[in-house]
Amino acid sequence: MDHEKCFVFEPEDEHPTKKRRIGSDDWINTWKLRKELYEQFWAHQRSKIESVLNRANEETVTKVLGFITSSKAPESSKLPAGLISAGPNIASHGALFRQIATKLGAADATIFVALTSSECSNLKSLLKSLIVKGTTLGDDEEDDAQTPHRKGPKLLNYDLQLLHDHVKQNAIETVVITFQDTEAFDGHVLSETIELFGLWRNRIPFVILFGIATSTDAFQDRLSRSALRCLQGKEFDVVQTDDLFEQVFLTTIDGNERHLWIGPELMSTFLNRQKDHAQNVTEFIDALKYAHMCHFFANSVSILMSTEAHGKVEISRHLCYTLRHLPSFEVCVSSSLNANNTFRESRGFLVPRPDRPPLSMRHYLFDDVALERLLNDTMVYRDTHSFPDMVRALRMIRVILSKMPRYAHHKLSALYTMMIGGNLLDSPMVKEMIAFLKRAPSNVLLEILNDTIGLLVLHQVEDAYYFETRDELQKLINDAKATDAPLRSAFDERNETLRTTVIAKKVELSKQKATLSKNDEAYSQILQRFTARLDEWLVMTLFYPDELMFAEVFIYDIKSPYRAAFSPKTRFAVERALSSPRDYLEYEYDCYDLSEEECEKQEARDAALSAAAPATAIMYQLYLESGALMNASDLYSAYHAILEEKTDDEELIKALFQRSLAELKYMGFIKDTKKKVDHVAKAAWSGL
Amino acid sequence: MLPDEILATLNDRYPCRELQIRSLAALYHQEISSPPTLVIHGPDATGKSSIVKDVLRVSALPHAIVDCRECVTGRHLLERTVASCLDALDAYSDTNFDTSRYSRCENISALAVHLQTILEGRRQFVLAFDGIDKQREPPPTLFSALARFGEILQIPNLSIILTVTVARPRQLHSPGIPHLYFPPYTRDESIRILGLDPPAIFTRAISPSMDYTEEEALEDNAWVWGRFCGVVWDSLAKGAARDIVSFRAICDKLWRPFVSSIDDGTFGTRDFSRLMVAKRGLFQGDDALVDKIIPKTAGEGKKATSHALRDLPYYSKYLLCAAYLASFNPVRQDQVFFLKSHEKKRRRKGGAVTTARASKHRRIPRHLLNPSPFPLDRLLAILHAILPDPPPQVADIQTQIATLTSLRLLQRTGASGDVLDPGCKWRVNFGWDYVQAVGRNVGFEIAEWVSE
Repeated sequence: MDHEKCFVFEPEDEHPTKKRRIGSDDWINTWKLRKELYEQFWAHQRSKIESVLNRANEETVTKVLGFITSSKAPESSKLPAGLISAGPNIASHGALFRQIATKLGAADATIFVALTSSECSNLKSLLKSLIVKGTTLGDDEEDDAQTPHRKGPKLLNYDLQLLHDHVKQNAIETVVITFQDTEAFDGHVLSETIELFGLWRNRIPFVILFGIATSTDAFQDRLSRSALRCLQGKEFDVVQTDDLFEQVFLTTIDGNERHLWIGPELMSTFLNRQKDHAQNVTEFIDALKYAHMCHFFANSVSILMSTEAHGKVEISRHLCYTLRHLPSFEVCVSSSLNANNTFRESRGFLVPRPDRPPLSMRHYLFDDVALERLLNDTMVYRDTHSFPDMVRALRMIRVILSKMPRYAHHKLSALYTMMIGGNLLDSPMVKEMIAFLKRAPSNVLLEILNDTIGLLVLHQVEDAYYFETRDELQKLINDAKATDAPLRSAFDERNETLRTTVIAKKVELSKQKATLSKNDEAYSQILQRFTARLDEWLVMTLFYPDELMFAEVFIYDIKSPYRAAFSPKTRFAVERALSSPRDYLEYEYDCYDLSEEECEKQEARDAALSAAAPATAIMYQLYLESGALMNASDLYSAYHAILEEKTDDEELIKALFQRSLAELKYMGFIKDTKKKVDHVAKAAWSGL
Repeated sequence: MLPDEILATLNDRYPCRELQIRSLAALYHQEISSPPTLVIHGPDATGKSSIVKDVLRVSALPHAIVDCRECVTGRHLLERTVASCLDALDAYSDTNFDTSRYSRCENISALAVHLQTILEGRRQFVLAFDGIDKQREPPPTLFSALARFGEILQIPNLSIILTVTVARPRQLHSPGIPHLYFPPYTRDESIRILGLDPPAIFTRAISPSMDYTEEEALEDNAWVWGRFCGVVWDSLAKGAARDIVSFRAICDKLWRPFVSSIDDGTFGTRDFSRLMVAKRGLFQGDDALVDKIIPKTAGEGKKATSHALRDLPYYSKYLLCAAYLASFNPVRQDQVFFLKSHEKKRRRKGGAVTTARASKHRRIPRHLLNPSPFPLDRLLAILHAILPDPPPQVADIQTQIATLTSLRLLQRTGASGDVLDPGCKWRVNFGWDYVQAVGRNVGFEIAEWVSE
């Protein structure tokens, strides 16, 4: 067994009996329910996300529509052009233009034509598709009336006269033409089209919209000067991907309904991928969907996410068994045993229900009903209190951080990742934030209070403290109206002076606090109370996922399925399969004459170079050893030398040689070269 | 000849074109027969098309004008010609044509036949091709055939006008065709034409209480505008915008900023020299000459690039840098720049030796040349070399290359359209300034890696 890398399992007739704790029946029985749960949870999240996405483009769309309406009256001979800088995220352009199209489709006397680069390789085809799209839109409604009763010969199908006739017949006021993927259009074709539209502008009321992914300057560089002279434009900005991402993220964790939480590992993978590879909200949404699928389809305890299941579905014995073996439950039990025989009642992750006092540990370990009740109560309490409070705390931290120049751009998603990883509360950032608050002048505190109250209203939480504090502060500020400067806290640097005293040739530095004015003192007290309360509240609200009981039920944090599905290692996989085929295929390979160590070291390479290895893998090994140009004859002799061990059949070796060379060529490793006739050139280097 | 008063109105409308109007009016007239072909040539914006149009209109001759720039192909032009001839004749007489006969017109010969049948028995017909040298995909014999229509056809009553920018008599393949030249306007003529309708200085309406009447305002407008046009011509337009349209565009563009000081009362209307000194900056830069889609306001250009930069992912930015290096660094220097073991050698190099050699053969700096194509693996290898941490070997990198290609920042070159072709090469489609900004955005100073 030592020299073998893998073991081929050959089952005998009777199956070995394996102890299975989770009854397979259970697993299969709940499958349907879990699928339903997935659909229910994901549909809910998706609808929330979609509404955010629609809202995000709303503003831009309204502006663009306003621009189109305003350009109906032709003031100048120039073509009105809207440049929509939608950013390099091409996937989101489609949604934006669809929104514009639907809005415009409802408008009267408007033709909307969307042109894509694939159908517009030259001017003629562009005009053809423009005319087809422009004139058939109206045809659907009134097809018979549409026959052109124009006198004279039939027109060519790329003659804009056709569109002109259509516009005249139907009294159309605007012809909106969009170039969604402007970058993909040939600059020359685009210039020619614009010039042509410019000539027809006095007869056909064109308005052009360009979707721009790079920058308007780059776009202008590609157009000819005469085309530029025809255009008169306005630029529209779309919501930045970063901001949109934050909004979408917030909406996924916000709300009082139960939903799946993404764990720290997976979340930071999401965020890193966003930053490094694809700045794209749809990617995130897909990833989130995949996480939901993984959680519900592959985790049997996910069934407990159901809000109704506890009433209807009996939690089976197996499930109770599983619950008791969840690591989070075990941690809770052991920590509570250390304290006293009941669960510790802090940080809101246990069930403060007055009618049901916490039972002793023993109950939960042996009584299924008690366990079930505990689970249910915990989940409900979290949905209604812990999680919304946590989100509110995050947003509040975000509000305060935005006042600090150093952390002004810190994202909520990053805060969330830190929080769920259990690093937020002890992070230097939060400590700095508290220190900052202690020194904050009154105007900053007032802003923070106002924002906090806004959050309270948004989350529909009632907390009189903040309102009272604000009123008190406002009163104090009004009293101190005599000076315009904001009130300073006792810890403010400006209230400290550094004093130097020289005593017996020794210099002593001492800090001295200036005496505070009455108002400042009052303000300092308000501030201190506020800070202390906030600090306390944050400690209560922000929790570690490790400490959460039954965290496995509602937190999903496994990276590998996500990685395999979203960022596969394609090139690496091919290279690995070719360089160590024995990891995948079984074949005889002997290294008896080598010592054990040498054997291990040389194994991978020699295994691939042995005659028994697949023909292409041998060729790949030779390929790796050679330089940029390979002589085919040398290659063949080396190949022949290896395969000699296996067969004497010259014909067969030749055939295998041809085939493996052809396969390498097919996979793009080698190509023909003009430099030397009898050579092949390397086209791919391994490890890139 | 046309009556004098009509000529006078035309002259009023098109100042400084008396000679051309008179010649045209003499040539195209009801009573005398016109030349079979006339070539009108002159630079852009010298009034060729408008004057031809108006002279033909007042001459009351049956005529058709075809705008060649609107025709996408040669066939389009021919069919358009036939159609406009029919339309024109329809407007002049009530004869109903059987249009189905003329539905197709593939080539010049067909056009000749059609024209012959259409114009059979008519007295006179003028056919003007406007801007025929701008025609897209013209048939090869278009010019010479049109020039000889008068000879080959049995229709002596057809006269053709060809409007072109530059006359090339050899293209016409027949001697003795009359040409009419529309010279560009001189400085004085341009300023006179622009001076016909001076824009207002004051944006607000003149209140009756002020000691300033409408007539005075008009007079001041004309005075300031005239001198202003002179200054614009001398400083900018003489060199860069000599034709009347672009001259007018520049004047319009600069007028508001120029007179804003008069408008807000800083200067009087006749303080032209002081105003000139105060606003001399306007005439020193070339901002007014650069065409922009969006009227430029301060600080706009910078925002656009930074916006595009911010949304690109981290690895895409490095990919762009790597692609630039692959395009502009020669392959044989890759070892010097990107192999870690060669670092010492590279430090040692440089100094006096290279400058002496460089002066011997004067080479153009590489960044001014076209980007050279590179294979994909070279790009990936350079990416590995320049990244501070090795990138993961995932498909995301390839996806980003595809995205950059669809943004046209990277371009696939080579004749083969096969996507899977391993020999396919790539090329960058952006310049030094852009890549420098991209590099700085991720803290990568690209100047250190580019070979001189």
